[in-house]
Amino acid sequence: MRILIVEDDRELASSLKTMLEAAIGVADVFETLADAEAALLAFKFDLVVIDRNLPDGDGLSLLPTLRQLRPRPATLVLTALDDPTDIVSALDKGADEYVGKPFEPMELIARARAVLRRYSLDETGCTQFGNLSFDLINRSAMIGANALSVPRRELAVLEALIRRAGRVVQRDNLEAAVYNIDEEIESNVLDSHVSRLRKRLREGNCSATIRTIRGIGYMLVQE
Amino acid sequence: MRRPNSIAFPVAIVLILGMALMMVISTVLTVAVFLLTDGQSRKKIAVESVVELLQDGVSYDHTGKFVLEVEGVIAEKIIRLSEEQSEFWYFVSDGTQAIIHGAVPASVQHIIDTTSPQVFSSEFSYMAGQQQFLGLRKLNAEDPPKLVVVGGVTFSNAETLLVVLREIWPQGLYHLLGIVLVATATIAVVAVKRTIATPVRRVVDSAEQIDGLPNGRRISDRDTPIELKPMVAAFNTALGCIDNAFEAQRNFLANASHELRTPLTKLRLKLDLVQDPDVREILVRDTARLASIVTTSLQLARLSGQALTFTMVDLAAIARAAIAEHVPSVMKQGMDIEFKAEGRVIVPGSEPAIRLALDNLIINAMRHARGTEVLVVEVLQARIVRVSDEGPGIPAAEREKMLRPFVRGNTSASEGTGMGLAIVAQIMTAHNGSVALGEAANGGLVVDLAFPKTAKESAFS
Repeated sequence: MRILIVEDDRELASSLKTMLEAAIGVADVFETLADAEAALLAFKFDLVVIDRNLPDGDGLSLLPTLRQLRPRPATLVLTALDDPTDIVSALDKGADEYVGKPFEPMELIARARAVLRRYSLDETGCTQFGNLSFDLINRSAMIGANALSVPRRELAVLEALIRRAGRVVQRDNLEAAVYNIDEEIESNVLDSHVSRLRKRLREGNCSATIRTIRGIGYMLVQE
Repeated sequence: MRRPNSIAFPVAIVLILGMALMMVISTVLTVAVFLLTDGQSRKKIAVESVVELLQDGVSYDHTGKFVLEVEGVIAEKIIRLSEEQSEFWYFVSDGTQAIIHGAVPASVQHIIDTTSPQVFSSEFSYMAGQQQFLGLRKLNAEDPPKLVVVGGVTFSNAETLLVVLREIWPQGLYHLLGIVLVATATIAVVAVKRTIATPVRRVVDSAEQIDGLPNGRRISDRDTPIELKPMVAAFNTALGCIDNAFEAQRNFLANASHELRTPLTKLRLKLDLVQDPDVREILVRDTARLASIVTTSLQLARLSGQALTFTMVDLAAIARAAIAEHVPSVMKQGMDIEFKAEGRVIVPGSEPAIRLALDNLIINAMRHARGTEVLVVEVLQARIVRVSDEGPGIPAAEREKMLRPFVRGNTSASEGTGMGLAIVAQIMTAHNGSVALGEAANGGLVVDLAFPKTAKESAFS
């Protein structure tokens, strides 16, 4: 994994570099938007961490360049401006995730990993959560080295959950992922899918399990 | 109740009273002038008045007969008073017909017969018994000329005054003119009042709109009279100053936010290098608290410095999204979170602000409601969002002040900023709603965010 850090505060940049290198992969630091843009066009990065207040402008102005790159790196915006409108504008312009300053180091790592997981799923069609792996291209799931046999609907549920592993997937979103618009959804069908899926994961000795968040939805967590 | 001050009312009253006073004064002066005249003049006034009445009173009926018909209450009264006097006589003639009242003294008859028709007015004195009387002969210019000769009129002072008042009644015309003037002035005052009141009303309306938020609003000075333009201009300058102050505050907030948080981030990251785990834990916790104070202070400052944009929002959807975001950290605290909703609850409101309120309530519960197994968030059809925990709760006496900034609970476990509930309260005030802190059956804290009942009552219009 290769990471690009755009941060003009050297101390902060160096801490970020140490932290991300320990947890995710090699990191390069650039202090200005211009340098960062040049580096982005010359090398391939998997993750870009951008601060907003930079000497030559707002970090968000790098987002259009990032959007045009193929493959596109995952983007995480560090922001001291946590006004909801600032966050919305960051996400609207193509940032995948934002982390408000000051942040817990663990939170930054977790968010960076979550973004990368979503990306790896889109890019390679494959993602890993604990000993559970999911292959989007072949539409199959494995626990360790063993293939997990799952009916089509349950596989769709599992895909939606693993895409947002560690975070809650709301019921509505899950239903939308599993059924098309015309299908009549019985109130407890989703619950029975989940409960059968939960049983399969348990029986396969999976390290991940599905938690029910009452009234909200479900979440894939590590046991 | 005291009558509210008005410009038009006192001006109109002063005008009316002024005119009334002028009428009284002019009448009194006229009467006073009469009272100062000597007896001879008064007699003359009386005789002249009677002659005039008679001259005006003679006419011809349908048969062509010469008749005397005095009209008007005062005129009749004067004639009646004259006729009550035994010495009173008159002679009215048009040359062919004549009306005679009383006995015309022989000496006077001689004057009547001999005075030349070229003489139109002649005054004469004559003796009757021991008394001297004043007589008057008048010939008018009509065709045929009417001759009136009167004598023997003796009026008391009061009776003469009546005559005088009749004489001066045309002065009433001036009074009428005064009434017209008063009416015109009153209309003018009302018009001026409207001219003044309309722009003033606009300024007042604009002033009422001022909610302490910058919005570039200005009062139009179109149609404002030139006299009031300085007021409108001064008001607009004041509005501009408010906007500038808010702009400065907004910039300050953005800068402060950045300048405070970047060093805090560096501090937090460096703390991981501290070797002693006990010391590190304390420092990390203090830094987290500091960060939290910075965040909530800025949130509070920002909330008071910007107008919320209201749309129709679903409280259930906002709550669901807020909870979904907090589930991982709630679970890390060893708590469960449960959401209950009776379907969609649509209210006018600001989604980011309501979300912020809920974030604060959930973070509060995580921080203070130790021992909670299930944190329950409910959205009720009565437009209430309720967050209930199973923690120690807040004593009834302290609940009210917990809604003020920088007030923290008394429990030793408190590590919050003391601003979470203040932010919630501010957000609910902006929604015309309210925050109620209560006690759950199991002793925990129940926070109810109540939104206004109907759209009409709310700020959304």
